[in-house]
Amino acid sequence: MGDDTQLAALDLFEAWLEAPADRRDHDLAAQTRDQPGLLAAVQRLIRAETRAGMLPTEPPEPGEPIAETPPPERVGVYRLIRLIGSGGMGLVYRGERDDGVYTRTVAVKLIRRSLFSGRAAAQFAEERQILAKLRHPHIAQLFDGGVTPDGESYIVMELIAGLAITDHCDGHGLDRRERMRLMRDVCDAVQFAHQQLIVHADIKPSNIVIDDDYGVKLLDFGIARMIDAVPDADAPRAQTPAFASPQQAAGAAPTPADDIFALGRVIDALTLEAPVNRELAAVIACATAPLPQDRYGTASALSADIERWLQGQPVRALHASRRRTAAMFVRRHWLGVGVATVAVLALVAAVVISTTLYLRAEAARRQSEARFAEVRQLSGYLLTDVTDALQHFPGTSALRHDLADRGRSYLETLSRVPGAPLDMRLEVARGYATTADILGQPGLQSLGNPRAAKRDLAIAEPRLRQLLAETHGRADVALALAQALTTHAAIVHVTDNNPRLGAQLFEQACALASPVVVAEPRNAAAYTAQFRCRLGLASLYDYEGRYADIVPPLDAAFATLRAFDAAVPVTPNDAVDRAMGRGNALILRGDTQYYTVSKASSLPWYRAAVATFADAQAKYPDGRLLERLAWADYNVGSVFGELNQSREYLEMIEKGLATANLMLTFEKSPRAWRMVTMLRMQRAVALGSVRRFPEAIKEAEAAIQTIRSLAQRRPDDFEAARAVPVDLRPVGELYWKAGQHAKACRVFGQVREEWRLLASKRGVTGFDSVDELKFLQRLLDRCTAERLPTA
Amino acid sequence: MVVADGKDRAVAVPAANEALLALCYGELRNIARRVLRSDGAQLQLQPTDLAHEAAVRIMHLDRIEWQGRTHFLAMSARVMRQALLDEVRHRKAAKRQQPEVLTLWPGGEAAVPLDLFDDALERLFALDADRARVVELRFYAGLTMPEIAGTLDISVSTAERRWRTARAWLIAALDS
Repeated sequence: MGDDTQLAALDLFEAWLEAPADRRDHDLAAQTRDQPGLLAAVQRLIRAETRAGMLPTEPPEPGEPIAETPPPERVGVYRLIRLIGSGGMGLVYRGERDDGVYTRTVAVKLIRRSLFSGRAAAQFAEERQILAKLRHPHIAQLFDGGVTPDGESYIVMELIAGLAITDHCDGHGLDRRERMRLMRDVCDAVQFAHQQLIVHADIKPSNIVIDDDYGVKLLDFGIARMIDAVPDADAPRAQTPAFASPQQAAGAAPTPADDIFALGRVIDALTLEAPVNRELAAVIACATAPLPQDRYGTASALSADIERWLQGQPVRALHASRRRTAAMFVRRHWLGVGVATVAVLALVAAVVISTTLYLRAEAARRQSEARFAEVRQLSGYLLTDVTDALQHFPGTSALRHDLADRGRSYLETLSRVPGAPLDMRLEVARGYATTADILGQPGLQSLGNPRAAKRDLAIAEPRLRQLLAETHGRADVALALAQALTTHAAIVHVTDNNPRLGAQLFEQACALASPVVVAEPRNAAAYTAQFRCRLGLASLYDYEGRYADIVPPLDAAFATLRAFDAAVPVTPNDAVDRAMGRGNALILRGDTQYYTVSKASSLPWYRAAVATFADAQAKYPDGRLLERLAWADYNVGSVFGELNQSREYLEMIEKGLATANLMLTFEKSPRAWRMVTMLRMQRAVALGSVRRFPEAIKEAEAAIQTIRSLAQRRPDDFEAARAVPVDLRPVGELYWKAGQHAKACRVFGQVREEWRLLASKRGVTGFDSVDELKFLQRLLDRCTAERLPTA
Repeated sequence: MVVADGKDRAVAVPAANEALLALCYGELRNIARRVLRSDGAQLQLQPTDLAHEAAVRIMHLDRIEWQGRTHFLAMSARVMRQALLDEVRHRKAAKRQQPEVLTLWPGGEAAVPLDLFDDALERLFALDADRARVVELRFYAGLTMPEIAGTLDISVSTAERRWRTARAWLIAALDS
């Protein structure tokens, strides 16, 4: 058969394939009339077509590694004894060191994706050195590694005898609690590595082995990263799809958040068969949240929640906001400030090391990208999560500031690298706003250093404005600027006593946040920012005693809450924050009624606040809610006090005190201490109102002693310092009511001295100068009238 | 995350041609040698494994900046084919007893001796190079139909038509 015939047959066959089925045989017969050889050739092709399945059209996915390659007999100083496993990455052999130096049995992994040339080989070596320094009882140790003469790379690891965690659990019939105990160890090991800036990047059951002698052992720590460090945009990544986070699957450099995701998946895989457990499901959901910021901030936060679950306590994933979850990192190590400080300083050290590594690795750009991502994430973590977590601990203001400052300065270094993304510059600017918040916010935990805070804001605000212009008003930039302005407003108002500028800044913040609310009606951060500035403005008028002006911004704040609730359903993560906002607004509304209408008319609002906090506390237990609940009880109680309903007064204050004491067992934070001492002082006043003076004076003296010692222990805490004169005044009044006028006047004189001291060191808030000091003056005048000494 | 993409990748060779690829022949022979290094009398292999192995390894070499995997695989299909066959023939010559090197059609069950398959493909090239090229890209480079269409600058339906025709011809040829 000639080539011409064959070619003609191919064309006819193609035409036959295309022709309608009912006509094609007829057509073919017509086209091959008098050419039996051609017809036979086409029919041969038609017959062959029926067996087309033997050569499928679509190629399969790239296959498993070619296992037929015989292994080298030895690599480096290790003799390979036998194959003990294989995986996507390569083959694992049992090996023995036999160079006469000493004998050691090891696992040798030959990595299939090989041929690291020049620069890549250097990166491989550098990564190996980092990993070799990772030593933890639950992490399989990396000993050595290199490249064989054949161009295959290999690593030498501690040989672990045991089963993959899933097989171990199933084989031993472990129950859910026993499985979770193992996972807690796994999380602790992962946390240890994260603190040294090493990400596993491929956590999965087969990489978690249970050794009969040593328990949990994590294999291949950082190996996936080490292999992926080799530039390779298209080749399949080393990580395993079922356990890879969406970010990792999309090809982003691995971060600790990816490991947390994978840990969540492993927990899921380990607890599949048991009946659904709501708390555990929440832990898994939190660990495997699609967005990294919704996951546990650290592996130890996840570990803490597992521990909580094991102890039968409510898990944070279900009952707390994400920030509180991040707080678990510090709380877990919280035996005293020292321990937390050590843990946190270890993190700082890790960031320093990592930044150095980053700069050194700059030539090897690909690798540095991954480090860059890690340094960035950890700096951000220092800057926000750890810093936030620390605010619950006394005496940490200076440390918090130091941390935020350092985290920010690392980010600042990174952001100066040419081509740093806009998002990083945004993080740096936000970082300055955060330090300003810590330094200057007149809240209970602040350092009370408004000058330094304003210095940071002077850096943050122009940068945010610049970024806002560059991005043509991008929503997240606008919200960041709104938050910075809100912080700034609070500082200039409360500590500078400049309510006019404060009000202007609050208005500017609202003007930035409000368009975002309109444009992105499902953006929770926009509602939060809008609410904060509106409520801030209302509080400003409250502090200033301009009660009539409170109503418009306060109504606006309530409108934000209504719109927020209508547009974005409450989630367990933000339920606490939203309840806090609503309750605070209700208290402010109560204040307005109290001052502008009547004392009695404030009660329904204060009671609504109590109900809001109590309801949220029942569903999402949280120390902050307890604090607010105690505060709302205090408000209700003090109204009863002023209405001379003494029995209800004492009852309500004692309820509030019980709440505050509960909060104190929850967390020994300055906030909790403050609330307890304040309510004890109120209890003393309430006891006085029912004329139980000896009891009242005893309670009052005890309370003021605690307040003084708290202020001494926390010299940087403005609120603690302010508490001394504020709470000393009712002590004097009690003496007065009890008939001990001379003693009372000496106390009033002390109060005046305390205010002078505070004013010289920190300044006095507008509220204090309007209300407290005037009231004190009236008391002092009474002493003068009776010619009683006040010094 | 790519922080400063493009800086040192910008030196991409705009029209990397097959002459440049020939520089990689030695590398491909090494890969083929590794793939074929077996003492078994029979070896089954999928040339697409070779293709992907080659892509992974050669694209790491800093000599050439490739525009992408598909581009690379399409261009290297012929060189890879040559390297693989040369290695097979070399081994047969060295070993004398001529071990069968079977090729497993990727995704299918049919195993055919590689040299027979390649002889058939070579005859198809002589007869009808356009249709044979589709098979080469499918078999040696492991490209999908849309990728083949894109590489050859033809429509997907044309690529599929050529493929079905060429496939029928190859099956018939291997039968005889």
